[in-house]
Amino acid sequence: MAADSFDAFAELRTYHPDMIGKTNLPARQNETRHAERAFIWCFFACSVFLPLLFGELFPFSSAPMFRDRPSVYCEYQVTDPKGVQLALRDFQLQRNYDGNPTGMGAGLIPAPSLDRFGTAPSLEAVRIQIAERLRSADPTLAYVDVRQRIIGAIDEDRVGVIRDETIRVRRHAQ
Amino acid sequence: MRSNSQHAAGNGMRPHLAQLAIWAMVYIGCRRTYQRLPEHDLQPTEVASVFSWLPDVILTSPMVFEGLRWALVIGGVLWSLQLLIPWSSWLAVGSFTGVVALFYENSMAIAHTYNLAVLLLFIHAAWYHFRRHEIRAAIADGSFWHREMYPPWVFKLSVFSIAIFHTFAGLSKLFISGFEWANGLSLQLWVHLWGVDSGVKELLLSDRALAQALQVSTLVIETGAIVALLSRRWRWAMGLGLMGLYSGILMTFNFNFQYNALIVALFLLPTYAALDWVYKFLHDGRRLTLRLRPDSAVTRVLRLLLSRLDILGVIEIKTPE
Repeated sequence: MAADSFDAFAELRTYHPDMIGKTNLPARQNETRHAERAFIWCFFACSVFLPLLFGELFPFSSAPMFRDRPSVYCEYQVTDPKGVQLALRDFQLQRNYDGNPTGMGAGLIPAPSLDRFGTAPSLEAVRIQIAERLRSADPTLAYVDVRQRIIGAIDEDRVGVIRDETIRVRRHAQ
Repeated sequence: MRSNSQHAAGNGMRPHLAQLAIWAMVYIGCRRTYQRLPEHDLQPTEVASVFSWLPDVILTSPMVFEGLRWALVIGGVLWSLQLLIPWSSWLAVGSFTGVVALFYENSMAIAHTYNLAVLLLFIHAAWYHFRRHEIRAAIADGSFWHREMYPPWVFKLSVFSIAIFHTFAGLSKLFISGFEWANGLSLQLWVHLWGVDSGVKELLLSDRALAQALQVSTLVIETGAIVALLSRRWRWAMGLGLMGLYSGILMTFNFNFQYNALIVALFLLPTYAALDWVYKFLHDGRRLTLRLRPDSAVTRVLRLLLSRLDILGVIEIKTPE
């Protein structure tokens, strides 16, 4: 097989020992080899430099998935007085993280959220956030219960829930 | 002067691997990519894909997206049958890029499922473009599968594309998190969140040393992927390493990385050698011979199909004795 070691131009040199200008091959084939050589260089440059410049510019990519090093993450649950689960996004607690740096290479800015994969906000921060969001929520909603579970290392070998707490946040008078 | 189709003989590789790869990637594009644009109420960013310079009215148009999907199907089928080349190949790769890029332009998250397929199709479309005269002539005289018409630069650029993609993956981890990335805990958290319920998940969640060993292996294999360019042995070694990595990912997570694994298998493992062995085995007197009148319609149709689909030259048509 001819593809033993990497020298993308080897074949072009085989065709053209005196590649630039002086060749005994027909003119069209000479032009083809020049065009191929230009293509190889352009493709090479785009593959190396576009990921370095932009991180993500589909189809070129720096493949950033899982490049972070989280030590904890949070799971949230918001329920109304009847125990019905409410949409996390309405309270800006949804998880935008999917393994890739949030928003990188995507055309839309993710909706704001208190949740940051790799961090665990205090219950007080959660309370303030929910109280703020309740101002614009359904007026019949007197309060919501918010459950925060923090997952992290529980000992030297295992991971699991290291904190699981629920707070009740009441709507303040307008 | 040699004919166009004769010109490439002896300087390249047989094109069976390339055609297999094109069929696989066209199938991924036509059947396995996004089917509709996501709905959203979010604000746009500035640059997301190579198409970000287009006006919003195009980037957000479901009609444009649907048109690109149809163009991909039409271009993909035509290219797979080697009709209207090289224009069909450009139509396929351009529309494939467009379908994925438009989806990302209307999304707040991306995946790395189709990058390699698009890049490799792009390289192969360029080959069909630059050597269109030779390829057309070889298809017309039925010699395409038998001549060494696949230029090594196409194969090597494909290997480079796969290698640099994975090396960037390793370097991204090193630059952002350092060697501490491989601490075992981060992998355990990802497995806890997204892991498919199985014994592997339970094992990883309860053994940090094992998780750490897997992360160290990932870092070494990904960052070192670029050595696949050095020689055939390194390429095969990296191919095995990456296949191991993808097998682990596919066993543990529900991510759509099977297409990347397929592309690694085609270009980094000895798939070409295996196909060429089968080719030579068949051509050592083991081909299926059909004896047909050369001027019959059946013969003409069969020749047309074989010149486009019989990548290993299994069937041979001869005139009756």
